[in-house]
Amino acid sequence: MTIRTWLTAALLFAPLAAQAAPEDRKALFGETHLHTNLSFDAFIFGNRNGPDAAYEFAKGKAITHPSGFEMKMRVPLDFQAVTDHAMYLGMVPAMFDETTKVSQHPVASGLRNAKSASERRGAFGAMMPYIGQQVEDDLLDMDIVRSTWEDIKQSANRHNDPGKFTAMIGYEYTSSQNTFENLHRNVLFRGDAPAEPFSRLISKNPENLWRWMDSVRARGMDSIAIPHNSNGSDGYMFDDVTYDGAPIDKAYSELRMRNEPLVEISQVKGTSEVHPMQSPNDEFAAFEIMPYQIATWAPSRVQGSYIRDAYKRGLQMQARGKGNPYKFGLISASDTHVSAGAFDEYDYWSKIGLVDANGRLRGTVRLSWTQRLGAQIFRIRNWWIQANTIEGARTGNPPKNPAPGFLQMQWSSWGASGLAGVWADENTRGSIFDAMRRKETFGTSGPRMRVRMFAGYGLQAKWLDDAQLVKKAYQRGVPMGADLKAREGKSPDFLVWATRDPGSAPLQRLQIVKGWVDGEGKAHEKIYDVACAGGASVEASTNRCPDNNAVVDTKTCAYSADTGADELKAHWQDPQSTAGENAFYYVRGIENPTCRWSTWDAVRADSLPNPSLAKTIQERVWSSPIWLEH
Amino acid sequence: MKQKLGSLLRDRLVWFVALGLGLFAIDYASERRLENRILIDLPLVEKLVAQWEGQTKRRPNAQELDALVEGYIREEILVREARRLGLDDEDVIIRRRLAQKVEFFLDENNPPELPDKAGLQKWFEQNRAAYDTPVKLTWRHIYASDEAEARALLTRVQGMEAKNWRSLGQPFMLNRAYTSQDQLEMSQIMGADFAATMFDGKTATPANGWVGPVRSAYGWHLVAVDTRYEIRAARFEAIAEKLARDWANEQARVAKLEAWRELRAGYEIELVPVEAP
Repeated sequence: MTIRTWLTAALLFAPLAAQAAPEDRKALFGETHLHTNLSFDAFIFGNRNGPDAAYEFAKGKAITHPSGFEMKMRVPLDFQAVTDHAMYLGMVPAMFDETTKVSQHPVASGLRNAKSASERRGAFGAMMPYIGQQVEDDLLDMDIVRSTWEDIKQSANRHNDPGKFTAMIGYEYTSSQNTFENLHRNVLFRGDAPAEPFSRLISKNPENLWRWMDSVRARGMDSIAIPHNSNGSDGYMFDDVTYDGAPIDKAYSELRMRNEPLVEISQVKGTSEVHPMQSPNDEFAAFEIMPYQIATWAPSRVQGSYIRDAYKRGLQMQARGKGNPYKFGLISASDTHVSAGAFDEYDYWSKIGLVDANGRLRGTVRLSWTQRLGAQIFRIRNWWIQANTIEGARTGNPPKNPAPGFLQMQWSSWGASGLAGVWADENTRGSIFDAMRRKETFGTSGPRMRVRMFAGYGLQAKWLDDAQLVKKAYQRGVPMGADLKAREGKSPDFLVWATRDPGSAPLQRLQIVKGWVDGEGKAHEKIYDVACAGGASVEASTNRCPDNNAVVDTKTCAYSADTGADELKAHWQDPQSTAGENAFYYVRGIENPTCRWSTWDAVRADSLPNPSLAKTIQERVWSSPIWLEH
Repeated sequence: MKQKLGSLLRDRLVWFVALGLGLFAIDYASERRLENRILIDLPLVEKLVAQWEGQTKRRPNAQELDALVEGYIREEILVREARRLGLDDEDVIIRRRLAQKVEFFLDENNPPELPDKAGLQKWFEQNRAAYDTPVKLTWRHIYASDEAEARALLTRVQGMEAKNWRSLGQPFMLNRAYTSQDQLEMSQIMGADFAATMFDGKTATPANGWVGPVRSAYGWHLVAVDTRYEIRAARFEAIAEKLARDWANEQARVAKLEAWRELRAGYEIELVPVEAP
């Protein structure tokens, strides 16, 4: 059966499936990116929690961090997927088990015998050439990989409890360009999954992953791939050309969009919405920027690495008849490597395990003079190692330490993020997956804000106070993630709505971010505040809310609770919609400022905060866009 | 001199001592031999063959059997040499494994015997709160953004046809109605204060109809409890199996703790004070 016949059949039979009323959809919160001890790197850095422990954590139980403390969620999750690295899946636990053949390999014994943090890093380095590509060597045993994958699937099936908690089957396809340019994506299955995951050892070219997903879909196993950390892709994630450097064409755009309806906008290794260099007029753009290629000190090119820019490029390619390969919705996830995501600034454990377990190791608590000496030796040692490493495997040297007295580590620029939100009919694998396909999703930087957006013609402001708002909005408009067919001579109406997380700060403002391409093919963007806390109105000259005077005391982390909003909603009409111009619109909801995790670390340790890190954070939620199509 | 030697030889005590030393020497030598002897008997060979069969699903041929035995001999000799050199002393893996084995003994020390029905029933009475189903509410709410608006809505909803309640109030992003929800679930969604009011059994009851407003993390709500499911007492018969399992687990836990305390009591722990710098 070809893909086309399969798709036709699916479309024909779709209406037969029981359809719940869309106004009854619920916002479910979940985790779509999580590593357990079965990922090679997680095990090396001390994680001994398997998939079962990860699901127990999601359901609200406390589990143990590699360094011994307990990790527990404030509120349990509705769904979760365990996504371990496909390459060398389950191999490192096997290397530590001295009864297996692979444990006799010198790389394996090196790993086992590493005692200190720096020996662990060294052993990890020795393993990297094997992880990168298929090496003719007996360090890889595919039988172990396959049986581990089977264990992961069974764990998900055990914990899947339709209606209460959804456990999805998934894995991470950890690809790159030549060296460290991050092209990673998570593959999530609607139901069951094939016997072996497609890993970078088979092909590093994501187009081959998509072709494999097409073929598996034709066998009745639907899946989507969700790219992440475009910020560390050195511009390759949202490039103008394909993996091999050929120009992007319509077939590529269709292949990509069929398989990648969503992108992770925010996670522990930074936020990829927008870089301040690209959007100098967006005063909220400098948010959780992680400037390096993944696992290195090498800077990542800005162009092609950020989402808003990708949306604009997509529209431009579409205008040139190439299709739009970047018409994706948004979601967030943690990417934790200790089987438990850290979503709260005030209860943060970073993500790796032993090497970033406390404030001193994270560069947020001042070092004693002996520790400073140790850090200098470490720096010199790293410099020496880099000088003696072959080109291509070099992870580089850190820039000049802007905060002497604090350890300088890549993970100082990481953050307590993020959470996935989906508007699903029910809490089941099928409903959640279908919501992801529809792109009716949102991402947060950690807290549980909820956001909705509808666009259409004739959506009315008075509906905002109508108890039937959602029903009417679905009847007359389209929800986030969808296309709105343009009506010539008319400007579309939007209804946007967000609620706060009762366990975090109140909301400060709600914004619509618009991007469009003009008749000459030039891309533009504009940001409109549409609702302000305290009932204030948007200033017409700047399109911004007045300052609501929300403050944080960075010595105690107390924040103003009385100046924000529990919910914000607005009706908005695009004042600038021009005939023939395609556009995208997404919502950004912003909280009042609170202490960033790095400040919490310092406050708890009675240390000065690291002066080179942001002291406060304005947590936020991003909706998937609605695209205006002519 | 010769005479002296002669008399010594005749002395029974000397003979006794010499004989003793001789026997001791023979014994020492044979013990030493025994220590360096490796016994290959039938049970051992059968064990080696069974391991081989487990891995290869066939019996070893003569040559393979030789190799198995030779492999065993090699391992045995290396282990004995390692022990002689004291290599097992501070080995982390060995220490952990030994400790683990004793842990298993602690676990298995007192396999609990199930009590009779009366005994189990008594235990159930002592712990019944843990088995009861907590109070649950099936409830609806009308959301208002401020208190005054909520009060105005209360008069309206009380005067209108019951089924039209959904047409009132502000839209709410979470559900408007929830079915059999316990207090913990409600506090996670609406905030702890709201849930505490709802569950106090005074404000919101099925008899009271629409009441409020009640403050939540989002604003003000008129609430109506349709059904309040009181604590459902667990019935002994219905959960007898689970009780027996829990009882056994609890006994095992207590027994292990006891055994550990006993072990611990046999040791004196001495803290060596650290000199102030």
